[in-house]
Amino acid sequence: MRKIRSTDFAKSKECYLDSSATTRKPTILGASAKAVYTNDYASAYRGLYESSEQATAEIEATRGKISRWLKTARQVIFTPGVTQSINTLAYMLEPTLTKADNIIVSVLEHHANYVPWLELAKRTGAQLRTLPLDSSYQPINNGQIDTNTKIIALAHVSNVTGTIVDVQKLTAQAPNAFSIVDGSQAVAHELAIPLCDAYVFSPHKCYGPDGLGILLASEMYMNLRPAVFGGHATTGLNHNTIVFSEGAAKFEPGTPAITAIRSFGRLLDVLDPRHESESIRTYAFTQLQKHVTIHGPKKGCACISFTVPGVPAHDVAQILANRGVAIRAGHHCTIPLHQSLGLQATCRASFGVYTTKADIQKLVSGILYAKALFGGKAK
Amino acid sequence: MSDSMYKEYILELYRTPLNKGELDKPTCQATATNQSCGDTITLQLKITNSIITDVAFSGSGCAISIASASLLTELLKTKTIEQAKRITQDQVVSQLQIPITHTRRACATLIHQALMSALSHTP
Repeated sequence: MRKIRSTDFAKSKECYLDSSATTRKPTILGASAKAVYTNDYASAYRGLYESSEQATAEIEATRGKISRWLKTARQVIFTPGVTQSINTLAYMLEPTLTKADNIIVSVLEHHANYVPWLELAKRTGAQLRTLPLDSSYQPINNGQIDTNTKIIALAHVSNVTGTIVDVQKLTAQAPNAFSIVDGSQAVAHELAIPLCDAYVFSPHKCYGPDGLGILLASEMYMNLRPAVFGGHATTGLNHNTIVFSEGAAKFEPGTPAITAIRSFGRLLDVLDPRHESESIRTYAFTQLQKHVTIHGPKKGCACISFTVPGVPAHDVAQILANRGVAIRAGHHCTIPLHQSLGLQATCRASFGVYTTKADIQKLVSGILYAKALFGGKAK
Repeated sequence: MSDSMYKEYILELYRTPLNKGELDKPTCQATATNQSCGDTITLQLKITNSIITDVAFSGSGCAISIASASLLTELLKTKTIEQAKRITQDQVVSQLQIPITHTRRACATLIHQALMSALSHTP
């Protein structure tokens, strides 16, 4: 297994700066998926015939590959993605909550790690508490975490500010809580996985396939009752008493994302899809700060969000798109964060292993053109 | 792709929008928000004997949504309620006279959304 690098990708027609939404894919992933579909496709966990046995063995082997890749002993559970992982978990934790309890999130959270908890609070009468940010965009406990905190759900890295959240410091203050860390933006960036009861991420944000999520589960998670039911997760029905499967299977009802899992496993045979990204972000930060207002810390990873004085965010993104530069504009599914910063929308440039200094220069020159155009000074 | 979306008259309508402001005692009003970008526009109408006698919009948005709001509010003056109700999204987009992509259509038609909502509140 060697580190992923830019030569693992086909040449892009675009200057792609939207890796926080999803990364581009190394050519080996497409080749692996094609091989599975063309030569090896079969249902897993059901058939006794050779192709099905192979599918089952490869899916199970992929769990081991993920454990070794992330150096974790936690149970690897396959899900349909981070959003599904967190929503399902919210239902699993519902029986453990009372009206006296509270759920902690930070104002940085993506809606996927905010709305399910807001809904859970509404269903149970528990209180949803949102941690604010300090001046360095780091969530802080302003006394809201207490002995009644039963759930704490935090992003490992913000999908807007690029803040690397000091997750461990916050979860340590909530010893009675079930802790969930959303690793969506972190997993491609070589950060140590913090101790928590559920660490969730989606491989499509680290050069893998879409339609697949991964949940690293603690023993406490494994002892919860599932919230989604069906085949494979159930081994017996005795007079309507359900006998759940053992291990990860208990939480994986239905046909899994067979091709996604197998092709991700084949990718991990060859590549380590995690990489250092601080240096390109630091370069971008230095280049951008002269021309735009950055909303995020100088030290961070994955992405930088900014506003351009005099040019609405969507117009910046459009003008850049017209120049082949792919960024995002909007609230990036973080309305609470944008409200707290007093912003309607921001532009976000996000970085992958293939991002070069030339990409950043193209971004900057597009921004300068947008400013000139809106200021009536474009040539 | 060129910047054909950003013709000078579009940018001028963004810099100095038409009918931007608030009416004193409007007959009806409505606010529309583009969920993907947060653009929010409030449209106010003054209606006398089923005729739109004054119109204004407020809020903030991108160049396309503000230019579109300027043009539609101009068009609405002296229209009857029935005529205003017959204005389609396609008309609103076409009066911009620029190519509008699928995603930006929501910007161009935000003011239309506010109009239809406001008209549904007419007495």
